Parts: sequence; structure tokens; C-alpha cells
Amino acid sequence: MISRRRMILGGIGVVGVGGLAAWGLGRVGLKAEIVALLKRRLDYLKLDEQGVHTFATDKVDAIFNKKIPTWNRLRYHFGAGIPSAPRFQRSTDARSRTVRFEDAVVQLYLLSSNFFIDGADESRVVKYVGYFDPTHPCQNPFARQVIVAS
Amino acid sequence: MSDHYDVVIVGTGFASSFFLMRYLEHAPDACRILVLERGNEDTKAWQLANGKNTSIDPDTLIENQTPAKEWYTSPGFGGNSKCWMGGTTRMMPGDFKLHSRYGVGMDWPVSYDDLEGHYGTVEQVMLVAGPAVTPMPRSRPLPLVPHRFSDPDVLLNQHFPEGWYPMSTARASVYTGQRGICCASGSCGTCPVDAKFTIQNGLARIYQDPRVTLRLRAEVQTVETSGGIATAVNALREGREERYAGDLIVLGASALFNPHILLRSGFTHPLIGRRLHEQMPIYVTLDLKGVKAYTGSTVLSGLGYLFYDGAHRADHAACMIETWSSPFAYRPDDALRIERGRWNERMMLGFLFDDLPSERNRVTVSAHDPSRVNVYFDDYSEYAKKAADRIPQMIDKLAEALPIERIVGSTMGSTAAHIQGTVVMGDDPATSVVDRHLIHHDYRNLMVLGASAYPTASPAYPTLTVSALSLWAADHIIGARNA
Repeated sequence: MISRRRMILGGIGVVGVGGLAAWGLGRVGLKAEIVALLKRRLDYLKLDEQGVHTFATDKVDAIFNKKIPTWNRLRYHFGAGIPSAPRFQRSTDARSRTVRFEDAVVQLYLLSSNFFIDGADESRVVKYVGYFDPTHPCQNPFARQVIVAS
Repeated sequence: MSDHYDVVIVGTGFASSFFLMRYLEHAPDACRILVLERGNEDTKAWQLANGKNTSIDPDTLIENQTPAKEWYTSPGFGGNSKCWMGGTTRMMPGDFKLHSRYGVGMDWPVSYDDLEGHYGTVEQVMLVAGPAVTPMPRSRPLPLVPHRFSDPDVLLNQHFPEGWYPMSTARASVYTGQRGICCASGSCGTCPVDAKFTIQNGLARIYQDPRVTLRLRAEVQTVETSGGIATAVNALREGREERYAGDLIVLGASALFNPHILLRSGFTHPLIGRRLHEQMPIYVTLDLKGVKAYTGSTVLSGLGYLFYDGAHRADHAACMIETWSSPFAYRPDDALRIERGRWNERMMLGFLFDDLPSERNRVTVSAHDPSRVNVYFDDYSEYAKKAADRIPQMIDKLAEALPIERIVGSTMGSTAAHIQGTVVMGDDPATSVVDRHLIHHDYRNLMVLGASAYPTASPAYPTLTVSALSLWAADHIIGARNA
């Protein structure tokens, strides 16, 4: 006969293993989803396969571990993504949550790649350069500098 | 422990530092000035290494009763000069005369002409970049060439030459010898190239003056008074209670902490802590046809004055519009237009409306922990909201210059990061706490500097006026002392 203590410990073990499995599957599933959506939304670009997978891994790490996106703390003025604040952070953005997520991933991937740096040339292979971090210098690929006549 | 100084200054941000700068120009060699700063030094290297601009979590200092409305502050040497974005617009002359010109709000007890020369001095010290022609009169040109417009700014400027201007900003447009050139990274809070003016990179020298003693990690708790004068400040420093006596006491601890210190000290004017306000910020994203945005050379590249000053202010708020040229850090999901070949045919505009202060919005001392500031914000005024309702008409006007395809969305910001109005200035002691020189009406050796003195908001960024007011106040106190 199984003791009550063993039952409780066994239950905790099952829940724990289940939780870990779900967590792991969640990570794997999310990574696959990111890879798939990038390929689907950017099907007219030549994406570096390895780079897409590396980006997806980094994005999943950012979501689960919150190691990479220190710049998320930069929300500063806008409170984008903050669930509270109904009165002071009202938005009229009509996109669904799914579309918002996809747009955010595509934006992040392109900013993390050489695409804009190389002039948005669709004939070139898009390579993942490194997870976009605007706390690094000069991260706006469209900015043009002041030219002072000598 | 007790020590006596000629001047005791609380805080090391814009208000305190510009006051100290001017005061030192006229102070005798034997003058002893103590400056107390709550936070640590938090050098630029430390900020970059840690990805933040203060080693003190501001949330530990504030009890925010309305968390949806955020209030930004950056404790430590240099104060909010560490976290600001470097916007240095002057107020318009009409901002000072809101009541007499438009019948709403309050007039300031100082005028644009009173501050004009001081504005110019601050612009020189901060090495402000901006246009030769600005919407308000000026006696001196800005020291640095303007930043480059984005493409939408160019169109707006061509169509509205007297309504759209390059940004006036303390983000350097050329190398200054100490600061890098702004390259529109868009992460101004910890600017990675140190392009914006800060007290640390621009005025640290005044704290090395032999007449000045700087004490870090000194949390000022109260101002002591006796016989109608302020006599000392009491601070907690590294676990010890310390008392610093002074002939002149100067609070420059921001619009959150100035009233907090006064209230903890037992000052009882009914307006202390009241009238907390800032601009109401609304951000609008627009899709454009064939025009590429985000191409300016700095994070905010253009300023629109089309809906700022005018007769409409009798009915609804003034509005200043800003063009965002690098919104990627703040808009991680919709800065780009996710359409093939049209990635940056999208622009973001910020609409800043001046709010009419309400006594319901306030700063008090936390009942649970007196060392913390309790902040309550009920709402913006109907005056500001009425103006915000006109954004669609404003965009129709902008569409005369811009090929706007559609309005993607709008968001009300959680903060404009401009905290103002909690120790209001005025000529009448019944309706103000400090006078036009920022001297307490009842305690004539106690000054309260900074945006806490603002009677009304103005859509303009407040820092240049904060700094100019400190020069104005310092000039007055120096003149009074010499007389």
C-alpha cells in the first residue's frame, strides 16, 4: 500500500515533470512558430536559415529568461505592452494580439539583421547580425547625420 | 553632528546646478557651500555597464496611487539630467500670460522678457543645437547647427515654414569636445554616445570648486525653521542623522521631493504638494505614401507649432507636436510598417498638450513610510482633453503637407516625464508658496527651485525654463546680498 507521503511526493514529481515538459515544449513550440512566421511573412526575401533559427532562439530566451532585452525596460514614455493603465495608456491600435506579435517579431528580426544596413536590397541574403539592442550606439538604420560644410 | 555653511543646496540636478553655477560666479573666496545629494555618483561608465541611469530604484522612493500614470525621476549626482532626453524648447511668451491673455489658468509672476537673457545663457552652457529662426524672439543664436530633418519634416517645413522647425535640443549635432554626436539611437535615458548635455558631462566642474562641499547619499528629511527663518536641513546619511545649518537654504530636489521635504518639515501652506501636473502626451502613428520617415539625425527631429499659441487657448489647450525619428526602443511592435518595400513609410508624432493644474492631483507624505512620496493623480483637465479631441482635425491640417494614407493608431503616454507645479510661485502669498524669485513668502532665506514652481504647464519641454529660472533666482539673491 502506498503511503500518503509517497503519494504526495509522487504527485509533486508528476506535476513537476509535467511542468518542465510543458515549459520545454513551450520553448520549442514558440521557437518553431517564430521561424515559421518569419518565413511566411518574409517569403519574398532570401533568409539565412541558420540566422533565422539563432534569432528565434534568442527571441525565445528573451521571452522566457529576460536576459537579452534590457531595452524592454526602456518603455519610458509609452508603456507599450504594460497590461495595466487603461486610462493613461489607451491605444486605438486595432490589430489583433496575434498580428501585433507577428509584426513585433518581424520588426525585431529585420532590425537585428543586415537588411536595412544593406539598403533593404531584396536580392541579397538577409543575415542575422545580433539581437537588436538600441542601447548600443547608432541603432537607427535610417538615420542620416548632419553634414557640416568645411 | 552639526556644521554651518553660507549656503546649503539640496539636489544636484538642473535647478540646483544652474543656481550654483551662477552663485559661484559672484561668491567670495571664503564662501562655504554645501550640496546634499540623495543618490550616488553613478558615472556614465556605471550607467552603461548597468543599463540604467540610477543605482536607486525610484519605485522605492514613491508610492504611486495611480500606477497607470507614471512619474520618472533619476536620483543621484546630476539628477534628472541623467534620464532626460535633451529637449530644450523655450516657453512661448503667451505661456507666461495664460490668464491675462486667454482668461484661463494663471499668469506666471515672471515674463518671457525676464528670462530671455537667461534662456540664452543656458543654451550656451548646454551647447544647444537648433535653428537660427525660432517661433519665439531670441537675442542670441543657438550655439550648434540644427539636427537634420527627417523627410516628413522637410515636407512639413516647406508647407508650414512658420509652423515647423528643427528640434532645439541639447543632443549634440556636432562633436563638442566632450560629447559625442547624437546618431538617433533612441535610448536617451542611457545615451550610448553621451551626446546629450548632463550635469556630469557639462557642469561637474562647479562641484570641484574649493568653495563647494558635495555630500552624496544624504537623504534630506526636513528643513528646520526658527524665528521666521530657515536655519538648517536635517539629513539621514549612511545611517546617521546629520544637521547642516546654513544662512541660505536652497531646495532643488524636483517637483516630487521639494514638497515632500516641506511637508515633512511641517510647512502648512495649502498649496504645498498640490497642482501636480505635466503635459498630456498622445502619440499617433501614421502611414505615408512614398515618404520615408525616421531619417532625421536625432531621436526627435522636428517641432510643430501650428496649434500652439493663439486665441484657441481660451477654449482648449495649446499643442506642440514632435516628430519621432527613432521610435524603435519605445515602439517594439509598430515602429516599422511590415509591408514589402514600405518599411519606413510610417511616422510617429507626439502631441503634447498643456494641462491646467488641478488641486486634486497631489504629492503628500506617505502615511506608511514618511521617507516615501505619496503621489495621486486623478486626471488631466477637460481643457487638455478637449484639445486632444481635435487631433483628427490637426492631422487633416498636416495632410496638406504630407501624403498620409491612414492613421494607424494613437496611444496616450503614461507620462511626459515632466513633473511640475507642487510648490507654485506667484505674487500673492494666499495663492502661491514662493515669490517670483522662488523665495518662500514667509521664510525669506529659503528658496525652492525647479519645475515645482510652475503655475501652469506650457506644451514646451520644461528643462530650459527650469535652468533659466535658477539663473534668474540666483541673480536676485546675489543682488540682494550685495545690496
